[in-house]
Amino acid sequence: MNDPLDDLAAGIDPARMGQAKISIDAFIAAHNQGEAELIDIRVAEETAVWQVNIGLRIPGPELPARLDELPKDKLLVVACPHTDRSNMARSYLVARGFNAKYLQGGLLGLVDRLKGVGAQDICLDR
Amino acid sequence: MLKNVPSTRPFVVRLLTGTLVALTLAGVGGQTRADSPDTTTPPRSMSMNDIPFADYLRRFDYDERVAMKIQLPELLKLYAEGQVQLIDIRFNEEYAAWRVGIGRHIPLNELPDRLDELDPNKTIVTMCPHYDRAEIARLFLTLKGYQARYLTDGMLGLADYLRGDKARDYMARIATETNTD
Repeated sequence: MNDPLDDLAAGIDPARMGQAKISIDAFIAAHNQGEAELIDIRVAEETAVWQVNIGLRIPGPELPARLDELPKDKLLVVACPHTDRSNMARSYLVARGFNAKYLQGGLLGLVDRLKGVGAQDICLDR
Repeated sequence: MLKNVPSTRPFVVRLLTGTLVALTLAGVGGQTRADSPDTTTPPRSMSMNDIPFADYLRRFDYDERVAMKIQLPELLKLYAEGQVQLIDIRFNEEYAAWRVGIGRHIPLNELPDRLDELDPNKTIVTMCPHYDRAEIARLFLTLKGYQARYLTDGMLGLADYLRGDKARDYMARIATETNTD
């Protein structure tokens, strides 16, 4: 059996990077369809400053102990303010067998997308 | 900073009521221009502290151009010191999608009817995702007689600035304050 980390490394190829990340619009569409869950992996002090009102908030350092909180039947979209921490967390989750991508453009890109009339594009009721 | 000083009021009222009315009043009553405010009724929407827009524009100068804005470092300092009231003026749907953990939410289109929620003793800082709507709110509040500034960095700048250890340190700092809003 292959080590998942070996598979991850083998996927570091320009043609396959699309598998690692998801665009903001694609995420919004998948979220509204109930097919994707946002995982905000910022630490508690950061989520105290500003909050995105969808998805789960699990600080990156707590991920190993809280894997049981993650849905198995959805695409996990990992996000941090930009993309460096989310990329690391995404790699970890994939190595643990989850279907995960990191959010291209980060949470800052997401909240920029959700400004003005754009805020009505995200489904908050789910 | 702009102040609505009483001495400007006759000039201002003349602007509002029209030159013809002002001239008529001066001619019939033999009044000086300084007396005319007592005999004219401002439009109903005006209150004692209002600054007429035209008057504000005539006094707009380089100092006001700087004073109407605030950048993140100064905002965070004054907010932690309790000198600033921070207002998120976005629409309700935007606030529902994401919000910052400091300040209070008053949608721009509700601001005229919710002025009683503002602290006249503080500088009111308005914010929106970038800064265009925040500037509309700032201008409105300024014309209403408040000390108001808008956050040039916007809420996106705030969200970008307060991450990682900066978020930790700032939230720890304001946790000890009771005068923040």
